[in-house]
Amino acid sequence: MPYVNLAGLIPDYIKNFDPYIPSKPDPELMKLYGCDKLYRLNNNENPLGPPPTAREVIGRFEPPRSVLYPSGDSYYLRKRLAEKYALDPDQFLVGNGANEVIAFVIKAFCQEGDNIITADKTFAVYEWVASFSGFQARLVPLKDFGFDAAAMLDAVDERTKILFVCNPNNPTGTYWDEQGLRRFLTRINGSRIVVVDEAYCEFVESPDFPDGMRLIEEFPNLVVFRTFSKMYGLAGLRIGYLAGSPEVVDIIRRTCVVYSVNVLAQDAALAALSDDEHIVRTRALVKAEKAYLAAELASMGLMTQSGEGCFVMVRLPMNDTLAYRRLMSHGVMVRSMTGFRFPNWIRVSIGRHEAMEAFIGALGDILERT
Amino acid sequence: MLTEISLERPHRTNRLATYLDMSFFSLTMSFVEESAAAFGMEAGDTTRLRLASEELFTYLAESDQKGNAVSVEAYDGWYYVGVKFLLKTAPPEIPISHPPGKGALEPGEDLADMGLIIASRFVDRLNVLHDSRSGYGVGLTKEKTYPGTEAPAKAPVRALTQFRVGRPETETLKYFVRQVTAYYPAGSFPVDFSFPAKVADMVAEGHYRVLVATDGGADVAGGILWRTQGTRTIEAFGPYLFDQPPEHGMSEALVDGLLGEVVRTEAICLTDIYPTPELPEGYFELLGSMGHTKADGHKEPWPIYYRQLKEDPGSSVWAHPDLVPFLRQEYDRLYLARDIRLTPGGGEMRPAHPLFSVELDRIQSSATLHLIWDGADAPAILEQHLKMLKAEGFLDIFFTIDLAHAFEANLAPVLIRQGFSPRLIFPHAGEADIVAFQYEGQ
Repeated sequence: MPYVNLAGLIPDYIKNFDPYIPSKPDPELMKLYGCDKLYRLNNNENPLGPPPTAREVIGRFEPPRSVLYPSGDSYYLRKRLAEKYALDPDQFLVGNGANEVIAFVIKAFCQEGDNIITADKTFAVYEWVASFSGFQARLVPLKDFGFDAAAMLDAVDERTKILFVCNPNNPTGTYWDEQGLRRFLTRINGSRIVVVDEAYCEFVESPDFPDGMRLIEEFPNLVVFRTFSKMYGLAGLRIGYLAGSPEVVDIIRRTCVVYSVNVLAQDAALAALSDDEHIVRTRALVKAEKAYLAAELASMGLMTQSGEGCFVMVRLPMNDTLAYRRLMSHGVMVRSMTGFRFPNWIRVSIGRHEAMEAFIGALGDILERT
Repeated sequence: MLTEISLERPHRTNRLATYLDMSFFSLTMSFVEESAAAFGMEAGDTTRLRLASEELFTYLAESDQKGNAVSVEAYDGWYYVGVKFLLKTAPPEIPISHPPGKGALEPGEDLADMGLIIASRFVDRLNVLHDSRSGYGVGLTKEKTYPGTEAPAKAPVRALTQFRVGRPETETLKYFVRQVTAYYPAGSFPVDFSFPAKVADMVAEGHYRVLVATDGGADVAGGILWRTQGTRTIEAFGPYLFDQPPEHGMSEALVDGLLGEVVRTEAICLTDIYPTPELPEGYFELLGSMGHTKADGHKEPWPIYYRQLKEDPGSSVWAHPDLVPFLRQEYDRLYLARDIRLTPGGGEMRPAHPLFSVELDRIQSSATLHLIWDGADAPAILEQHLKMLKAEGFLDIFFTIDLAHAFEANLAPVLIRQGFSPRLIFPHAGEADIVAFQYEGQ
């Protein structure tokens, strides 16, 4: 077997990068933790699943269609998105989940020596993609659980290419209102790309929440991310997209991997977009279960951070990674927040009431025995 | 004064490609000596490093390795000089366990003439290097001599309600180190703290990382230190606070700062091996306790705390049935989901001779043994190692087994019979969990 000098082949930024290890499949976890049921409350999935329109499309999918490549650029889905948001189809790029479009944008605009700016305690993938691509991720501390616009602007230098804002923020649920976002975009004044990740926007009912799609024309350096994994319940099919001005999207398209979105995902997403009732039902469930959690967690004397979105953060009087293991032994899977730089916090996704009761019961049990 | 600029400086390395032939002895020794001197090592330390290298080279050149190519690397670790003898083309027989060509050792045979052991007496650390990709070798480490400081007096610090946590500049770091030794009793901090300049060099080398809490100016009110062990474990020391009330949250801020720096690295576990009373509640779990033997022979408990940095994915481990009760008890206590696979032993043929690595730390008077590969005469060889280590005066002897390897797990009953007790499980510290045994005596 030939000797492979791996050490000499690997860039330093890859050597120093920690691969993300996803959790094992449920049957394996249940076996390891000795539980006969597992409530997954760690990934902010929609407990109602996909909208009925999408379910119907998925259910009647004809296996012979698997033999053909899908539309390489999600043609019909982009057309439908353009109608919905009054933009041009060429202003959209669809990816294999929103994670993929993050990589498209970073690859399109960053070169050696460049940096991106985001918050220290937010969705980690902006930081990860920048880091393993060899670019510096400048992390600005949150202020009162929210993105600190002034500090982000202060962090900009001549090598800053992209600023990522998660709105509402995962995991804190805080958001910039329209006035705040406009102010930020005005200060940037077109000099950098501003990405606003709106993965959870469909959960927000507040009237002052900005619709990034409507700001694209006014701010051509704005790129908006959306996903079908959260509100639309299609996380298992991996489909998300970005929207931006024609000039910006034309650049990003050059780094876009075509044919990465499968045909079933495209069909299901297309169908999901027409089901507004699903959003109403999901919002009602999230609202009711958040209220239930707020009351129960308050009665336990626990601090919470719950803004917009289908999740709640809970501060525990114990190490969150220990809480994760102990909750797992009760069949409840949450997200430990050390990795988000919120040590001793957990994030629990909103699920059906049965799952919320299981979580509260398990949490009460482990705290009682601590 | 704080700075966000890394203090770390890269290693400088000299390399010599030569042969394990006594014709090249002088050349190699000159290389080692001149390199050490060029790296700023004082004459006495340079001589000791040379003497160790002489023993090692002679030992290897008279072994089965005779005539083989060797790559000698001398590198400047700022606070130490290291020398590696890398044997990339060597056959898989590094004579650490017993002299080459002598076959298996007979019980009672004296190991005191082993070249490697003699070499170890001149340096601070000696370890066998074993990497399936790089090959094999032996490493020597000699730390530089630093001026000590007189026992510093406590410099009172006002209680800070507002403070900043960040990396210190060199003088701030040295001030922090002196304050730690003034505020805390010996044994609460690494022995390196007796030499602030050494700690500064250790931070520069990347051995330690440190965060301090200041008022934004010259007042240093506390700090925390850590280092990486392997790729998946971070070892922390502290936190150390100077006259700061707990309600101000400085301890939590320091631990939060440390976590912020390490959570998105490869590390999976954070252990605190020098915990202080200021360790914030709720952040760590008690992993267990080792024993630390002081120079007067008194053994005191050495509690070790830990927290995982990532969600534990659960895993499978190998275990000999004799170790299962300990593992079950500890895994249950720590809520670690593990599928324990038994290694009953199938009567298959085994190689005759095992290979142990021995890491000697003369500063801490500790030795850590590890089985690199299995051999039928492992019990006899282990017994000889113990005899030698005790004769050399090592106060604490540890043995680690990586539960990723059945052949290592199978050594548990041998260890227990020879006076070792399983003390701790370090989750994910090796390829799987590592069990640390400590020698308790027969």
